[in-house]
Amino acid sequence: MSDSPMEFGSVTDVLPDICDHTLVLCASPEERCLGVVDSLGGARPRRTVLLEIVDEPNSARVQNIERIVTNCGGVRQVERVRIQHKDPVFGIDALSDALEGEGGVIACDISTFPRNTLLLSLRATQRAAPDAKVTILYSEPSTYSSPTSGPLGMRGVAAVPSFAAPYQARDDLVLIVFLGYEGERALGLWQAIEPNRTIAVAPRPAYRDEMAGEAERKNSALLAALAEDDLFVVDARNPVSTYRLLKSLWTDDALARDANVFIAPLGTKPEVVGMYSFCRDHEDAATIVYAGVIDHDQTYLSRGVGRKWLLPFPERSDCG
Amino acid sequence: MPLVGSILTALGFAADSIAIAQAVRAHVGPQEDLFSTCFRLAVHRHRTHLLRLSDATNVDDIRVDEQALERVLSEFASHSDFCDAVTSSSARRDLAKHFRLAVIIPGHSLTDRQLDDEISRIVISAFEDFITRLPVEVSSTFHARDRDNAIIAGQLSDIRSQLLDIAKVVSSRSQYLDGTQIQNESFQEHFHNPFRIVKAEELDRDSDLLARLFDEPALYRQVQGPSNLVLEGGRGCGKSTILRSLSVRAAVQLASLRGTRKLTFRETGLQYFGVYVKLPRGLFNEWSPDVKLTLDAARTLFQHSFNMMLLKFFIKELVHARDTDLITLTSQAESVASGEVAGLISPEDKAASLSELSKLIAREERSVRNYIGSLRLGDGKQRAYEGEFTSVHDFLDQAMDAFRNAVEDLRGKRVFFLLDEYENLADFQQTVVNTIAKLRPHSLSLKIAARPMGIKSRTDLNGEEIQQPRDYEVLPLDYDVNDRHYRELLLSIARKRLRTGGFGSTHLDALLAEAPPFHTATREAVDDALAAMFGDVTDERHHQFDETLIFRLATSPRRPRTYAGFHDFVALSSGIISTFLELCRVTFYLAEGEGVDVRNGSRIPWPVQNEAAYRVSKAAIDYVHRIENDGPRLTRLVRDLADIFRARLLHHSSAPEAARVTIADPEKLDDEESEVLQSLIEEGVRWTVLHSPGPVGSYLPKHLTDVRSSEFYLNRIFAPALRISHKPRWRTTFTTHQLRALVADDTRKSTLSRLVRKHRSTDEDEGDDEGGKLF
Repeated sequence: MSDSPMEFGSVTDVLPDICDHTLVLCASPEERCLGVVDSLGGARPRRTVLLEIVDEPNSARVQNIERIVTNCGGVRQVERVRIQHKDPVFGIDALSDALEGEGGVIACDISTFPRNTLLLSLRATQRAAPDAKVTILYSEPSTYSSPTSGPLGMRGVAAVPSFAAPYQARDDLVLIVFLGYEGERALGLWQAIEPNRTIAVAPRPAYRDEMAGEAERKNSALLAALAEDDLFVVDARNPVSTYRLLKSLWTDDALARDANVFIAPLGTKPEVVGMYSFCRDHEDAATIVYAGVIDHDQTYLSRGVGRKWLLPFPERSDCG
Repeated sequence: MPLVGSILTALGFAADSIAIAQAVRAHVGPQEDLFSTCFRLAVHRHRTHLLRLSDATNVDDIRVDEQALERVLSEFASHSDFCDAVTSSSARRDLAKHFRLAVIIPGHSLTDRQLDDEISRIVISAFEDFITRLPVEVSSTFHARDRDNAIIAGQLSDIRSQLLDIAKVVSSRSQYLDGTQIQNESFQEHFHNPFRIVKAEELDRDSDLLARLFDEPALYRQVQGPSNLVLEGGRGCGKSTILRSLSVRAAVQLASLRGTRKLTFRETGLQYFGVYVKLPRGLFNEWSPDVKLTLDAARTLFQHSFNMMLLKFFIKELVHARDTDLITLTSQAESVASGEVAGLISPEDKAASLSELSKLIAREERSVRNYIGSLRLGDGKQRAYEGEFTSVHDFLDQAMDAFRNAVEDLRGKRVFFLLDEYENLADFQQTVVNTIAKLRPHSLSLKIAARPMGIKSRTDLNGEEIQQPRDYEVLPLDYDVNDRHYRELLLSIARKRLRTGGFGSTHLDALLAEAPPFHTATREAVDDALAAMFGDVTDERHHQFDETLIFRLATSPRRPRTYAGFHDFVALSSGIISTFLELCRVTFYLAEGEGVDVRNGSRIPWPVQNEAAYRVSKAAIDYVHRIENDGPRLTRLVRDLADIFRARLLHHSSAPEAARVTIADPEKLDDEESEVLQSLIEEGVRWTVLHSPGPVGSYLPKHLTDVRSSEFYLNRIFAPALRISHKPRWRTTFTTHQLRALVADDTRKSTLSRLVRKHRSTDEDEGDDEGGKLF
């Protein structure tokens, strides 16, 4: 498989046998949770497993679920898995049960998964269905709208369950922050963790030209504390780019020898896929920490559906 | 067009620019000096970045060409259409062309376009800074020169309020003016700021530097004693630094510095071998119970993991001590101890070296992790844990004994496990640690650093209560700003830093110039007001009311009081060493940016210190907003309380400086409906947003017999940004019901306006001082 994202208009352009595949996706109030299901062009996946957040009711999400069920429901009903924003472990066993022993292709539309849920879901999927080939689909947002009420509050910082590396007897704690648009959240994580060293990763190229440099601008207060050499860039939509960066930091930068490494996924979903793959292949390398926002209605919600991609799902052998 | 007009136009305020510029020029004077200051500072703050674009090796080589800058500024005066609004990058580049020669970037290879992009950032930053400082200049002139001329005074007053509005807009949209940003910038290593290191984390692993900068607090002997100990204090009070100083590498270094040569562990005569363990935020929830992991299982698995973790840290410190020749560790001793400890993990296990023992530890950790992972991911089907298991009741004690018996240098010594950021453990995890403390093993002691209310469990695994001081001694570390010893400690810390940094003068109090008395008011205005109120002006009246009168007579509504000088910084520090160091760090950073030669003994002008105080204060409030979970609500509470305190400060006739919250009915905090308020207060104390004048303790009060504090005051560092007095002299009494209503979303607004009205007019003396009457 190519190690570059492939753009598509219709899902069948990149997954011609989608009718034989299992589709896993997460319902959201964001319109782009429909990006893939609206591009099925009449085809229906063999099975559809829909993750549904139940602890934060939202009418837009309900409407989107109805459309997903209409587009994907065929002879077999869409299988719905109840998950929670507050407790990312909740419902993961049901996802495992749903996918256990699944062979063939599992197409995962990652567009609107909460980041911690995405990490757990990918791990559960690969453990429950080790013989399946997992492919990643992604819809970019058309645009973002800023919250109206100023900076967002942050929930408690916590290691994503099952993504905590052993705490090594090392002197330094290094935080690798993948930057997004919520500069306050990145600062909040940073001030809570109080690392000895911080490495920031900016999306470059960004999704669109007009977004270039926006993540750095939104995070300028955090970046001011960093040595210039500690700002790295990755291709925002290519998980392989993230995987390679983490691997190079791990091997070249002596992090493995001298530090406990925490990774904060505040950037794009494709970056989260890259860090998942890296942590899957390097179990002791890093702990992924996350802090959700207090009020999801006030977060940076995307608007519309932008370009759609089949993303490379990094394997150790592809990212040497 | 005058300079002010050009800058206003460039920043998008063209409509106001001509009238303001002309009035400022006519009555306040040309502002080239102020702009030059802002420009120098902007270049200073961009130097790190520009250095990378040049072939210079020293950041000091990036600098302002003063003559070129002077030329640019004279061009401003002679061109009527010098500036357009710089809303596009091309407009910004056009503007930057004029300033190209004013910034020296040796050996850069930028194209003109790239260079202009860089310069435009500097110029816009300087413009933004200039515009936010301008109202102060206007205010000073208004009061100093023109208050007798009603027409000019009226005109200046209008302009000042227009400029204040503009400054507010510019501040809110400018990252350059953000307090946190400047605070973070000042941390950059190459600025050689003597106050660069504020937090223990920033020392990295430099135990030598720690030893050189460390000042022993008065209670250090007690800390070094054999008892289990909780060092309790707010963020930045120095807990971590004390713990780090006890680690074997720092402790030996400290002892060596007292003499003339490097000592070994044995030669120091230390009775303890310190092992520092930071307990990072977020990591330990991996063992927390959830829908899949029961509390019993979590407790059991955490015990084993905790044992393995501490053993691992001990081994690492031992190896480091051996490799740096601090101790002698023979291969026979290593083999004996490793073998014995391996047998404690499992009778079948063997290890002939520390490296083999470390592998066993890694195996155990992996085993627990895989088990928990399987449970959570649903592929384990709830089977029981089948790996090895150690208990905190005996494992660590026996393991440490094995090493003490085998290693000659450790014989008779205690191992100190120095557990930092203890509040990051969940209550059931702290119960595990309490169990070790309760057993008081002879081979080891626990030295714990915890925030106020950071200890969530007060029992051991058998349910037995922890007793003080039998199981733990608790040492509070918060300082009183009025305590002479605190001031001496700060001066001593500063002296070491200035000496280490190669500064000519090591007397910080001499380097920090005082502001004019009562600034931004004047002595005359304060005396006049006191004379009008009381008929005479006595020292006592001054003592009682001068701070209040500064605010009431202030000439700058945005920054009513000027903060400068060692004593102001001590007061603003609120007894927290790191806040004091932060104030110094930003002050030294800004001073360097403005070209003050502090290194060779020049005093830092008070406006620079004042700028630093307001920036650090604003950053402190922004920090509160980012506190997990309760940050936004805490920020709202702080701002609401400040509104009430400010109403009293400006209007109350007898007890104006009332930044002290007294809860009239603290017993009601235990009511169910007070849960949110209570947790907010606890969180506020934990993060040092609130102080309690009395003892708070690290323990969360959970017993009815516990005395709950009924008095709090705001951290003094918030005072500048909130425009309130930093002195909590009088009390402001609230009922629990009022505070509950203040923190509830639906009643907050109406409660706040009611309380503001009430407190600005209440005429009751609630303080400790003898009251007088103010206007």
